[in-house]
Amino acid sequence: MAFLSSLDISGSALTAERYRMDVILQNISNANTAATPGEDPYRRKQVIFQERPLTFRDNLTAAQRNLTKSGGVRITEIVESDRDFKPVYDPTNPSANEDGYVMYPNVDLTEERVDLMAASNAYIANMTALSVIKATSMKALEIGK
Amino acid sequence: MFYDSKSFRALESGLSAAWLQQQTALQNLANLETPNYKAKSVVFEDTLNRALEENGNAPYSFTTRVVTDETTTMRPDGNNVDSDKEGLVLYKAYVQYSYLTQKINGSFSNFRYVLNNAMK
Repeated sequence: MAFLSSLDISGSALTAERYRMDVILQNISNANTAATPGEDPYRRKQVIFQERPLTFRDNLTAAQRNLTKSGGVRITEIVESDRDFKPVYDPTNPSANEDGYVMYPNVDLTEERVDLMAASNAYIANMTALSVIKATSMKALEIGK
Repeated sequence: MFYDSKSFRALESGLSAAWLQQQTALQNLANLETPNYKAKSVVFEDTLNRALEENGNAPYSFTTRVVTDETTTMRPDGNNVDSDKEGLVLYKAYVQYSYLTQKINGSFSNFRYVLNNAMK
């Protein structure tokens, strides 16, 4: 039905942005998860967004890719950052390697905070859009009353 | 018949157009953070040309088409969605939709009046 698919568009965005916020929070909470001997420290995770096609033509070309729902956004994968880890000289730390360095995760707190703000702004934008589409749907139900 | 009338068809295609506009605005807002996403908008195809073909009469229905603006970029990641603009498109379409439903309800109550009073 037409209005339910509209709700799906906003719904997919809300889900995606919330998931993105979850991943950012995971990064922030693991910002100090240092390397244990023999293992790498935590790697920064990032989500990859992709458009879910809206128009019929887009749908036709995407039919092979098994995208049944139309419209909105989806997360295709989570990638781990390849950026260098941050070495801190701390020879007394039990996690230190043979040179006396402790490897800390490649998470930049400022970057995460900015990403978090972007995600929450996008979430709010979609919430507002959702309230407009809800009002429109109610108008559609009033036809003929 | 009542429902076949020109004005009714005009109202109907207006509703579909407003709805499609809302869909594209929603899609744009949903992809606010998608890299390389290009904003979509609704165009009213050949309305003027067809109106002229029909001896200058106003068109009573029109076809819509979704176009993608591939030419601009708002951000380094290639996305060109302007959230303020999309919010306004959404709201404008809502006002238009409300207006059209009111008009449709008005013509319904005209029919109802005729049906109820024809036999009196």
